[in-house]
Amino acid sequence: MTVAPLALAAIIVVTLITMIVGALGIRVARTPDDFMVAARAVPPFRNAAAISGEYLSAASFLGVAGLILKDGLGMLWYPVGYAAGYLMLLLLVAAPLRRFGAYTIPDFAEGRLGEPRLRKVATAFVLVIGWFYLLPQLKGAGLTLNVLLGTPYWVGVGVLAIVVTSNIAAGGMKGVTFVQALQYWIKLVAIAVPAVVLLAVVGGLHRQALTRPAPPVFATETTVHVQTSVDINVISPVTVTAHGTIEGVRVDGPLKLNPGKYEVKDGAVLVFPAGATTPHAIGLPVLDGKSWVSPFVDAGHRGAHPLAATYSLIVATFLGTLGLPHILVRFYTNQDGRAARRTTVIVLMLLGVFYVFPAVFAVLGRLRDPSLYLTGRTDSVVLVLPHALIGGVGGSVLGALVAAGAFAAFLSTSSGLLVSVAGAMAHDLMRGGVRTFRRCAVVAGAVGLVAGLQVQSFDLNLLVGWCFAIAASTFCPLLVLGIWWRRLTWVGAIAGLVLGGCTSSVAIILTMAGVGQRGWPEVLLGQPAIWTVPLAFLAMIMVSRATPSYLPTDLESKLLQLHLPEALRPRHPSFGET
Amino acid sequence: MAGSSDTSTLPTPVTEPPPPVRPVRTTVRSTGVVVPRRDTESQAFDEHTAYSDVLLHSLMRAQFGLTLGFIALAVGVLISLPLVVSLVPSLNDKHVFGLPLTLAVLGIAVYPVLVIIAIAYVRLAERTERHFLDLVEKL
Repeated sequence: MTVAPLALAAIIVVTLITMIVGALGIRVARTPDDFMVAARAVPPFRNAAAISGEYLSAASFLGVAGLILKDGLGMLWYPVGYAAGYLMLLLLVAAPLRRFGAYTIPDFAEGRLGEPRLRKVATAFVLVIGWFYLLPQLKGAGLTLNVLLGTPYWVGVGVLAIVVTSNIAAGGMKGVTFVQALQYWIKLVAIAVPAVVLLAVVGGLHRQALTRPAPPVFATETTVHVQTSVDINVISPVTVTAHGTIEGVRVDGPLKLNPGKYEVKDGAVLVFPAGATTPHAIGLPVLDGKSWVSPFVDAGHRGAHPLAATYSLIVATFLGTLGLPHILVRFYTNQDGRAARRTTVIVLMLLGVFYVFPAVFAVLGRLRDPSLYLTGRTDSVVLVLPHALIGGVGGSVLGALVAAGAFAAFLSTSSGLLVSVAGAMAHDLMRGGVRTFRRCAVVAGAVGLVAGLQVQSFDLNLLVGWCFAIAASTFCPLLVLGIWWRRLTWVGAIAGLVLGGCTSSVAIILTMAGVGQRGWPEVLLGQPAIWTVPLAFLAMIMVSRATPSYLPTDLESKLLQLHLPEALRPRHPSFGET
Repeated sequence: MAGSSDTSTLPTPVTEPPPPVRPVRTTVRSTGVVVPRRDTESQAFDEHTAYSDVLLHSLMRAQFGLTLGFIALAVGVLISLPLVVSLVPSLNDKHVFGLPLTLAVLGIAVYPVLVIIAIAYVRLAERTERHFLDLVEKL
């Protein structure tokens, strides 16, 4: 790769913008409120851009395109679910949550149900989800710097963790509100411009090209540089020109590859003739066009249950968004319930515009540069495609642009996550002020850094999808029932949080450890939301019904606070004591 | 500039220009609770009565009914594609405007649909609230 200087410059510019605007925030951020929720009253459009900027993470910017390239168009359910989650958030929680006036989910839990122990349990899950969500951001940074600059994985992870932690510890959210609104636009430009330019340069694609009933082929003579040793699966016989070590033998010249497994050492260069079927890295599904375009998650591989897997992912993403602590905290910065609704609609528009573009990279990658199937590094398709397809100065400029966008994604999402994790530690666990918040930010960043170094081998969207599954199994039922069901008790809430949170986490940890590779165990452990979400709802409802004596004493005034439009706010005494 | 960076760091009230009829509100920074500064038009919710409970429940029911209806609509529209394709596999090969069906639907068309559903919901939810305000203010 030779995109290094420009890309490095672009990454440094984005990082400096983040730090400088964050630093400007220091002068005005003095109270804990300023640090945690930007002192409220951000107008809807800017707030929506900030929410979108915070939300579009490594998984959206890099991961979606990579996942579609690897597993097919059914993976579009990830971005669709990420966006549709805001529709569910709008329908179920946006206005009432804002009207209730709680900072964070633990605030809401204790305020609504009146039990400090519930706050502690909720805080624990804020930390679990926040840290878990930090991992794919750090992984994305490690991957990006590795692909663009050739640095070891830990460099990117370390740079991101240190930049974000120092920024948050210095300025808090006051600084990042504006940065995040700005970062939405950086990300949109950084993915839209290269996508449009690539489409224009590559030109018309054959109508049936994607649905061809065969695995992907190299459209033109293609040189593949293998940077990391990989075992490849050759699908049909092909004669390549090879330079490097293959199957432990040094080769320099023509080499006939027969169907089967080959071990290719790093540093090898393979030249494939036009029309050759692309070998796939071991572990990647070999999909023909028909499977690749099907609307199912996990289409055509591992003999799974595609419909069940699809619906489980839909449950997790649709319902997980409304349980993401770093997103919900932003709704507090709306002026009132109506503004919260408007903000949510604008977020949907902004996300919809963004999510059209990742698929462009996946489609072009499959048709024009399928060499990523061979190297197995599908997650990097957005980063490498501009240079691979255009080359020269134009390719380098576009490559630098996507690098900047990718870094904007890591910076904004991990900032938001760190604020919510550090905020939960400082505000909900320790009841401390600004200095506690700063210290907690440093601790939270350090924990994230250590964990981020361990997840190099996992797909970005798999990691993010799991966060959504945990959020959907814990905070979704808490918020939905807390807002709409008067008979919820704190005992029921704790039961549901613990049951939903533990079952979904255990299922995910088992999957990470390699348990359940096929059939129903694979679907039910790898995509657990389809059963853990109903389980959590059921637990909250059943236990609440069994414990009616634990209902909050001032239930009616809590419900008033949630549902009464601001224009009718009463002079009720209980309104002063959240 | 950032958020409300124009507000000073002193805990002064954040006020908004009074919209017609609506009361001016004051944000208390330390608690984050919005309290009215002058009396609302109606006294219906000023104290906790069985009557205010009935009013509140009717509002909650109306809003929740609306929410459920829209969830049914959104879920019905969005999740029908995998079901339909698994029942009629030949649809998988269909093209819409030169794009495979999945790409046309999940890659592009779904987003405007989501936005339209969201806008329709917001209009109806605000109408419900306006009706409720009218009702209460007549009392």
